[in-house]
Amino acid sequence: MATLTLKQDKAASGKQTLEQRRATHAWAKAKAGIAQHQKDYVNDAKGLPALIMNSGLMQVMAFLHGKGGRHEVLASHLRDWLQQAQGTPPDFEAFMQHLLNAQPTEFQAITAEAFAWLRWLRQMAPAAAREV
Amino acid sequence: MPMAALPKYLGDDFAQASPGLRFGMYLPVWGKDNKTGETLWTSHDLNYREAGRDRQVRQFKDENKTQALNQSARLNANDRQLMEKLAQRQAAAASVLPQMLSLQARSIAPFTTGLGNEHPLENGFAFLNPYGLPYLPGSGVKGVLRQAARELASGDWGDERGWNQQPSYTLKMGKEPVHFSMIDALFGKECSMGGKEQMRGALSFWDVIPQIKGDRLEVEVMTAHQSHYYQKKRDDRAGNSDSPHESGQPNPINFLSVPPGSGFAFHVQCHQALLARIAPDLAEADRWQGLLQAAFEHAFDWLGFGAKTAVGYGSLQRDAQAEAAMKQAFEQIQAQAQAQAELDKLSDEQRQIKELEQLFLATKDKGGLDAGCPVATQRLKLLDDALGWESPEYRQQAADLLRRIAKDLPWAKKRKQEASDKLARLMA
Repeated sequence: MATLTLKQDKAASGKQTLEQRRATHAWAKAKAGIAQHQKDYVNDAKGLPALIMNSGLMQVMAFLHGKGGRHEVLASHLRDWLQQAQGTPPDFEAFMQHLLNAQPTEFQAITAEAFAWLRWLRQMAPAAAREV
Repeated sequence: MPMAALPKYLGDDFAQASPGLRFGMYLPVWGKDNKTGETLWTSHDLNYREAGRDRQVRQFKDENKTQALNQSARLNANDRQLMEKLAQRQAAAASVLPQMLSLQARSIAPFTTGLGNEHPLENGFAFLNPYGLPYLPGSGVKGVLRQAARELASGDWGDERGWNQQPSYTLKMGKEPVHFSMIDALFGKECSMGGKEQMRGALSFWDVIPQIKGDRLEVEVMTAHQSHYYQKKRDDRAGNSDSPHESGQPNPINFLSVPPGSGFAFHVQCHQALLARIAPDLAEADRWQGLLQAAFEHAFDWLGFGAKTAVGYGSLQRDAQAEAAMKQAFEQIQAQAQAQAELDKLSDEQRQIKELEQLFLATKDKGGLDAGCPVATQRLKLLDDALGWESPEYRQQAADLLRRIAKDLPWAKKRKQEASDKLARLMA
């Protein structure tokens, strides 16, 4: 029994914490976004949390999708993370339908997760831009 | 019929939500295809109407932005009440704080603020959380007044009205003395990154809650003609050039504004002890107040408050009538506070006597003394309570007051006899 516990601990220490996973994902997406859209991606990433805070997650996702181009790239990066963390669909239309039908606790959890990931992205993006 | 991008559990009736929430979270701007019922997630609806010479049914894109903004611009009864209460609360706080300068103004042009805030319709608006009402941040007021002070001090506008930019004050920070002007003393001094010559100013500027005239904000339009230049887009319709010229395509952008005729109350607080230490002559005889009034007048006449002042938005003028009303309200609040403070100092017995005396005098002035009035009820209560008091002094004071009241109050004969008996016992 003791051996089993030790094995589990070892396995757990080899895994990343949720924060580390957010950071790793945000770093990869920041590099990809900057490769495509340079400084614009950094500015959009910095402004996105305030936009969600004032207007709500769904309004902002619809807005980014409507604008298209680099805005849709950023939105797809966020949806990709939310798929991993919250199991939401990665495709825009299915994502919006999922949120439309979400229950209060789930909607709040998804919004909170979006903020948690964006906190990393808005730090990672300027750092990634300096590396390029 | 456009909808807001929200989970279904929230419903679709947001008439009681604040304008700030209706403009931000609950903006019903997302369109539908009205034939298929499909949500489009664009800011226009797809409608189908007969049109053209052949009366064929055609598809039309109907924009939802203006309608959505108009819906968010409405003020309901709660919003109006909240707006008035907030202004009253500010005025009450300002009236009891020492060293305040309060000014009332009225707008003579539309006023708009926070257009640079993030919003899905490009232009935001400054709503004060959590009330969801338009506001002008104190930092915005401070910026305008600092600019007004600089302009007056420069001498380019003729009369400096007491302002100057001379570094006439000195303060020792660390080893080196720092020289600063009256503008720095009042508004603070900034320095470049890493420098030590920074200090806070003596003035604090409060947020302004506009008292909106009517029951709605206005939806206005600005029409940019040079978006090809700003966005560096080459377009056939804009002459296939990305340099600025007069043939750009008009791009109408809607935004919210506060209508002219709305009231603005400015409150500025001075840290008197700080000012007396760093610039004693400004603190003396409240000289800072005169300077600030001059800066306000210059800002009202020439600068304006909020956004888009270069094209005349945010022009205000002082409102003497509102200032007189505010002064009267201040005096009333102070008199009430003083009366309450005096009541708080008294013993329970004295307070009961005093309160009945005040009620009696006020009711008598209004001519409302009758058998069922509150004075009659309170009188009987005092009579009963006073019979249990030990202090002969308080018993005597209560009896004197009760006799005075009895002369003016009509009584049923039986009750009068009963009260007279009790009064006799009180005085025994």
